[in-house]
Amino acid sequence: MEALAFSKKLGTFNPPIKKADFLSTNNDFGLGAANEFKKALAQQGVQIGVGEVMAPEATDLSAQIAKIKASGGDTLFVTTGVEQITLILKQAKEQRLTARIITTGGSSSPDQLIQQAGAAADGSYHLLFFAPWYPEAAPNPDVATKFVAEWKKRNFDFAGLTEGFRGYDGIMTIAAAIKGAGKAEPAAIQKALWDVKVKGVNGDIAFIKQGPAGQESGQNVPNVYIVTVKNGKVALP
Amino acid sequence: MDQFLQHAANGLILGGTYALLGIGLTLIFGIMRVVNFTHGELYTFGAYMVFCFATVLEVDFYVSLAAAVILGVVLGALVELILLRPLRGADIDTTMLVMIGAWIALQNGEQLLWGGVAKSVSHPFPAEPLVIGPVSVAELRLFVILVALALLVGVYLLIHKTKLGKAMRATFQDRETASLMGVNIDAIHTATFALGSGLAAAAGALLGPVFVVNPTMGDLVALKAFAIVILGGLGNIVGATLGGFILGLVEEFGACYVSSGYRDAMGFLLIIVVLFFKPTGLFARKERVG
Repeated sequence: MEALAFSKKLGTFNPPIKKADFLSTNNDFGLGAANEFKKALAQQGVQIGVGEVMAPEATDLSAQIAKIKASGGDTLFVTTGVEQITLILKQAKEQRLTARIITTGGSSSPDQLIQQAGAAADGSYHLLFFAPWYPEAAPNPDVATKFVAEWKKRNFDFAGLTEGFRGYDGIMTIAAAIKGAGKAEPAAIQKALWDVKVKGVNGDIAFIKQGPAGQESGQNVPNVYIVTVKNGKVALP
Repeated sequence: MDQFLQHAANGLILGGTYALLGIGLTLIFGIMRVVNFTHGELYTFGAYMVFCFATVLEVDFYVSLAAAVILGVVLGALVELILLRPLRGADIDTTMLVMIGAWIALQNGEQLLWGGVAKSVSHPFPAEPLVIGPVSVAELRLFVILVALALLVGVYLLIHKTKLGKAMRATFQDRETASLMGVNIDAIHTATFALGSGLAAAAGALLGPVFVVNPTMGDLVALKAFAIVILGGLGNIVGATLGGFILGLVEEFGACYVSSGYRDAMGFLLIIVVLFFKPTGLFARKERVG
């Protein structure tokens, strides 16, 4: 869903993405994202370069970065947690990797990256499901602005907003389903979830069916935000 | 060719840090015959100490490194005095269980004290790499490999050319005879464990600024240190050094030319192959250091 949403925003990038390489953590999260992005980008005519993987706890990624550099792609898609993204940004700078780096998965926490990677974070792009620096740009600006204000009022760490909104949207969705079901019974709530329509921090939440008939899972098409790091600060591209 | 040279440089630098990890463990595991599960935690401790001094307290980076190593030595000495000394003579299973407990306690202590979010260590080296032909290397990494090499040589000389080193070797070859020759056995046990711990802390203090510092950073590192020691031959300082470089190069070239997905597995595959043909390790001699 993230890859599809992103593919509609390819025009954001100038110069355009022509050849993409991938570096992802060696688990379902990383490999699944890399595969979906490869498919979505290939459909848009982007050439797919190398796909490298790393163990989630790996710290030295010099071999993968050297191979990616040799591939000559103009953009590197990275899917992993914020700590490994920090290492990738630092080690990419060490090896003079000039490709544009885009992180996916929504877990990049740019504020934390700026703090940990310093200047190496400059010029990187991050796909997020919420951009708390710009709540007014959200599809439901009133909900997003109120959520950010409440978060600040409670003195929570601002960097946690890019993940913290998920809990809020999730609970609001469950509450709406319980209300819709009219009773606290699992089967009724599960059925009611298909009809839920919630104005969340990410955007409008509703589920569509995806998968083989009779075995469908409920998927929500999320809103994707692209932010970049400029001079040590988060900015819109 | 450019890519090959970059991989060779990466592998050698990585190997140098692995060697540093390996010699600390080979002293304890190879010579004392203590399966030191706290090795990775002492590495983590060194990294947190350099973060505490250099970043939190804004002490000079080089002073912070020295302080981290000294505190690593002190922590190692305490572990030996409090946990290992009462167990001397106990069977290996008991010692292993205690060391596993110490590992868990230290890791959870670090998590409690510093939290789970990774920390970045400030250092005086420029972010821009040093470019030598087609190869680019961060100055910080060059500093790390130079210090690691100096430590490797220093430990070799300490073990082989000093009275303390001779006493260490004598103690772990034959404790009773060494004692009869006037060697203070208790002090040698503590000194050996403290030295091995100090080397682990040194590795952590040097690599903390290269990577990021978090409570579980020592887990994979400890596993690799055991691999290096087994590869090089138990108790063999030169073997651990060469084992570290071999592992670094195998991982680097394996990740590039075979598959990055099997990068960590390649080192262990190599060990299986080596042990199949040479069960005592690559560089085991008839007369070990210990």
